[in-house]
Amino acid sequence: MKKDQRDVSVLLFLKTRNQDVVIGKLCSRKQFLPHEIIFEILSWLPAESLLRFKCVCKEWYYLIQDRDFIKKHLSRTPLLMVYDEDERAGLSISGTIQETFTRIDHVSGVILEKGDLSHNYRIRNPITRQILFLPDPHKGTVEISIYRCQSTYEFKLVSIYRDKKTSGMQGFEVLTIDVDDKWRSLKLPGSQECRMNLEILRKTHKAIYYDDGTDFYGDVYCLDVETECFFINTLPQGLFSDLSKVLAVDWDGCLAYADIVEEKLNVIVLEDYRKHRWSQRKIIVPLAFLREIQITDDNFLAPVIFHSNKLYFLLLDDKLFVYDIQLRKITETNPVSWENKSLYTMRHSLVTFKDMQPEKIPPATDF
Amino acid sequence: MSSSIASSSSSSSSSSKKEKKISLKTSDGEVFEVEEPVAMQLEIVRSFFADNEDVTEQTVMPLPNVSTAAMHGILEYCRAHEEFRRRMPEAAPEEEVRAFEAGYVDRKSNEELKEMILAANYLNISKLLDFLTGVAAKRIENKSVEYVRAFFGVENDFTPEEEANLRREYEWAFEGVDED
Repeated sequence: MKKDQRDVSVLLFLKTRNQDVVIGKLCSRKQFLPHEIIFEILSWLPAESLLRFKCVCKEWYYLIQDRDFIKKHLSRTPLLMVYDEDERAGLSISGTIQETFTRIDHVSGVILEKGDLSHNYRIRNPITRQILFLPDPHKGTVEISIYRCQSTYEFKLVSIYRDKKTSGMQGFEVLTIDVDDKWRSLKLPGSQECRMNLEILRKTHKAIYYDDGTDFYGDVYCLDVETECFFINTLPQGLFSDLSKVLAVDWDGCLAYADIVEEKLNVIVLEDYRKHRWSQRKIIVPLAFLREIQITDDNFLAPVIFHSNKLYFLLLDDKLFVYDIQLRKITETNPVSWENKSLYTMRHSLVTFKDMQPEKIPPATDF
Repeated sequence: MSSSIASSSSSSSSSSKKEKKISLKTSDGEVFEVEEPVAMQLEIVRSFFADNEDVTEQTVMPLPNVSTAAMHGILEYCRAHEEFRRRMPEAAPEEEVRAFEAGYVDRKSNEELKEMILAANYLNISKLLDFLTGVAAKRIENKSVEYVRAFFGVENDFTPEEEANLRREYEWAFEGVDED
């Protein structure tokens, strides 16, 4: 009998900041969920389901392409391990050349790709199947990274070029997607018009870290992408006995240096690159699983990322291990490459940019 | 009939002789006596007792948007989590928590699930709300658009042409969908 009371029209109140706001009327036994709860439920769904549910009704359609929703969804999307897709064929910017593209970087579900023939750069979201062609970077570009700013949610590209005309001088350029229509040059700190050989050491969600490949663990150039400023940091001396065994690790977004000695991982973290602050002590992680893996001199085990209590290790070029430091066991093992496609971690997202267009895969030609 | 669960499901909480209880009254007039640490997981209850100085242990807090059925489900979850916390204050026994949560929702119909989501939202228990909305998502992720409309009681307000265009635009997202 009590249950039937719900059949009578009941006003549904929702508490928002000490105010009771009437948000809906329940007229039958069926429960109707308010907008904010639909938002919560949909934010847990895989991106592909969301594309399908865009045609449930107009409210859902607008919700699913809402910026705040896309952000929330991204924050709840699991990190996946994926292999590169088969060769990506597509039309070049002019629409005439048919060529393949190769992945060079990725962030938040979008992939930065380079044309194998034209050297055009484009961004592709493999879930929404949309692409955006980018303006040409400086001649002699050697490396481009794509980065998402944490607070502004802007996406930026950073490139390094080596200018052949000026005897290999190095320069940086930056481009904010949806804002800039041209690359802007980026100043290095000091006046030294870069005679160095900076290359990417690690890209994390907090910064892009560069160092001089020829100088063994010298200065690290930490690019704060949001403010477009470099901060130079130096690894304190005497922390590691053999620098040739030290590796750079993405430690929850911070840069860290680590080595493995006697089944223990020793880590020094650059906690704040703006204040040049390194962790006081070495973090020591016991690695019980090392006993089970045959380590010889030529299959080197390298820590790569530490993220939400999980450590990702590469065993030379062979396998990737995910080690849970709380459970103290390996939770996942994957071959690093499979049928010549390499493994990488990424999230599937609905991230989209202003001038993105549907990716047109040219129809297969019959002969 | 089912009201006996209200007092008996706390059987696992030890030495409950003089434990402080908080009285909560559901929309259909049933009063639940809930152990304080469990009741305090309900943010709406916690702030009610923190903000009002004149409430006493005898105060019965009315919860007009929560049915007795939903309250049973809510308390079962909160009591289980209080028990986990009591046993392992440092880190929750993840595998056990997952096993409990899986069994917990398997028994709930879609309508019951939605009713509990509304209750968890009103009572402001963010952990439970995250969990239940995640469960609802799992139940629809491979379903058809028609199934989802029925699940949520949503009217289709697109014209047939608009809907056909959307389906064409994302045709790959309509492959491999479960039978309703």
